[in-house]
Amino acid sequence: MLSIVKSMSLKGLEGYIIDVQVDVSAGIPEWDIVGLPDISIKESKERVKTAIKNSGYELFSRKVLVNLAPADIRKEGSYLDLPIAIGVLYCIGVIKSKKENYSKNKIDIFSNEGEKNINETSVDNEDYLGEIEIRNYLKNRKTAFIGELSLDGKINKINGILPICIEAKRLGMKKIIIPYENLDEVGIVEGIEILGAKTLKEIIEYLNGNIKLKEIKTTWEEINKNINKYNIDFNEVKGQENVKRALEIAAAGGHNILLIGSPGSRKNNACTKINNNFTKFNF
Amino acid sequence: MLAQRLTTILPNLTFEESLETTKIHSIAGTLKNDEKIIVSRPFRNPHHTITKVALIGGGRVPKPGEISLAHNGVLFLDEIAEFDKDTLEVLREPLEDKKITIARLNQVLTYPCNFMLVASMNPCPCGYYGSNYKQCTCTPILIKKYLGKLSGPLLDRIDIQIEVERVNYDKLSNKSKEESSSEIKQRVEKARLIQQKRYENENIFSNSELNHKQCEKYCKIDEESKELLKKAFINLGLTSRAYLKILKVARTIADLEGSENIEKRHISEAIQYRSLDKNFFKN
Amino acid sequence: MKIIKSTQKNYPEKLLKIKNYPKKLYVEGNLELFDKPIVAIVGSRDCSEYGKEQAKRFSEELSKKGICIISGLARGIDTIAHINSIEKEGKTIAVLASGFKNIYPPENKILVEKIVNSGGAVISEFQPDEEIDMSKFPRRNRIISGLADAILVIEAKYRSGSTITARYGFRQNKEVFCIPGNISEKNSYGTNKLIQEGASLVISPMDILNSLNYDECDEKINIDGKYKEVYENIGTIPVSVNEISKRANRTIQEINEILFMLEVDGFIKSLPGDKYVVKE
Repeated sequence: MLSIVKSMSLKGLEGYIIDVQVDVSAGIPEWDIVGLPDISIKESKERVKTAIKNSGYELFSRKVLVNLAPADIRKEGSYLDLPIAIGVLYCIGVIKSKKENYSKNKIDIFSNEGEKNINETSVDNEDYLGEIEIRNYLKNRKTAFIGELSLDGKINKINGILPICIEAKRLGMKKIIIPYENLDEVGIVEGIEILGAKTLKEIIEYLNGNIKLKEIKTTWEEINKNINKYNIDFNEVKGQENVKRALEIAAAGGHNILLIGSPGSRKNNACTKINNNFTKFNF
Repeated sequence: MLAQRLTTILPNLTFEESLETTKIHSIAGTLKNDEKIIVSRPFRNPHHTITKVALIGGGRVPKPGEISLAHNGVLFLDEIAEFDKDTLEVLREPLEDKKITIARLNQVLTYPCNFMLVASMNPCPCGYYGSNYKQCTCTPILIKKYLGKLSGPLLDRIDIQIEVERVNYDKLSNKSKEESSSEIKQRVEKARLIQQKRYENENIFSNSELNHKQCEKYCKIDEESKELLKKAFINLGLTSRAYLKILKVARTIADLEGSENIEKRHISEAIQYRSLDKNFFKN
Repeated sequence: MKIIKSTQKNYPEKLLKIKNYPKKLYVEGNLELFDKPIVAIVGSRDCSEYGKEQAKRFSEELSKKGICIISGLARGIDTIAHINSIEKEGKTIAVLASGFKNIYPPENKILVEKIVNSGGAVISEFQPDEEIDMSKFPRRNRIISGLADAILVIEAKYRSGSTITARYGFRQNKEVFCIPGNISEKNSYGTNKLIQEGASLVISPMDILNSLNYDECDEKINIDGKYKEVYENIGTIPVSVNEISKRANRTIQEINEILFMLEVDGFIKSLPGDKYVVKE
């Protein structure tokens, strides 16, 4: 059984979408990840396996194949743990792709299980998607998953979440599910629904339509207002008016500047800085 | 340190700048815990033992280097003469292009790096050349060699050179009121605004980015000033590379004053910021 | 053009002291220059770059201090000395080795005009229509050395006109200065030899000025207003920009501008460490 989950990665500051294709079939228990993964991704199979187990789901003995498309770009980092886990859980039926789930939560996770069921005209056939709908979903899947799993099923914070979210929006994603701890960083991003999840279990519940996930929004003004900007100031520098003037000019024109001075000409200022910090800590 | 305080007089980050900077720090994982988005201009001061890769970015898993982390902020190279010469040379293109492209086996990445370079150095190996406090023990050749560590192309990209004088104890304990950062910042912001308006159609933002042609267009000086410059070049033994820089800095000084034309006094002040040319490279 | 006889009052006093002084002089230009301090700058016709550079430097520096430069209007060092003196608004005297109608070298006719127009003088002991010939050069040289208070030889070959001028100088008890050169250099042979024989070695124009007991002559510093105010705060002990700004109670912007003007005009000198001293 096959499922495809969307995720994101970065090339420099530029993002691209990764299709995490997971196939779970009966056979000798074995995990394989292809699509130019680096070591941290290859290791993710251990994390995913254990995290699923510790979230309370039985994997049984199955053969799991993961492909990361596009397969010609090298992928790094541990943030693909979550989409892989979702794909696996989907394939083993923990996450259900019922029609009502889609309509309720607008989840776009998808597997071809539905297709099979349509062909078989099974009893609960109508619960699953029709063939045309499936194709549409395939084309229009707009939810990305990103996050690193720890062994107990918790979702860990990752680096680079802000550019990922901004790029996800640029690439037309509608929703992205990220680690809860990262949620603070991306409140500023508009035009995309960003949800934070604490554990794998939480996501499963969410995808099955049982709970809601948290979303944080902040505005630029708010951040700018509340921030304690600098704890240093020019008025702590005694003397050296010529250098101050030069720095002012440099700042005004964006000029690069070279300071030439004998030892002791700058160190005194470091002292005032330390002083400044001390008062801060005491308060 | 004086250089660190430079960030306090630079204009506030705009939303776009802030996002860009945060993106880079997000990828590098250098965001502080309570920092949602970077609102203060970054100040990076790598130690002089830094490698090329750490400075410009790269590595097996390509990460942004110090110059990108200093994007929209200040890169401070303390004791610049102690840096590996090769390491300094890699700064040449980023200083010009404001971005760095890193090519790796599987990918080519581009990170922005629009930073202000602030460098500091001793006037000579012993540090006391021209000092009142201690006799310099260096031979002229040694001094020349020391200054020679800064290559011409790199010096070409530094507009302002200033000598920092050691501050004596009287002055340090002096309780006199010094100008605060916010006061200076107001002037800087005003000057920046003038520049933004002037360069609306030029695709540049500040005087430091003026190229030769633009310099001719925007840094016009009258005959009297030309005469003065000529005199200065002959009498002070300035090098020809100083010419453009003097004009640019004079432009900034005029902007700080809100003066439309570059006056004689602006030029004469600008020439004072060529310490190296005036006092060190003369002979 | 005027003719001055040796019996006349305005005949240069210095010339009377030499042996075999000319009985009459043809003079074009300023007659009052002869009593001023005069330094002769002489040297090779085909001089080296080093020679050119030094001739320019000494001529400029001495002219700036109000000293009159005398030379022989020949190609090379002589011409450079004249031109640079005029450029620094100094006074210069050219001594011809021919009559006024046959100026040699011919391309320097324009220079003669310039010298006269800039308040300098051109002199000759020969009839205006007399032609140039080899024997007249040494005769001219004795006038150069005779009128000068000090003689500076920039570059000279073995047995050249400049060494003759210098030897006249020795005989006439004038101070002879030579710029030393590389001993393997042809152009420096004469000067090095002269130094060996007792001429003074010069390194900077100050050496010459000192020997003339030169004390700022007529060019007293003349600055005013804010420049003077700042200038007064600078002494012979190096002071930093910040210190000057504090003493003069002016902002750094103003101080930087003023210091620059003072420096360009040669009143003060900047030293490493952003410090300033009064220029001697």
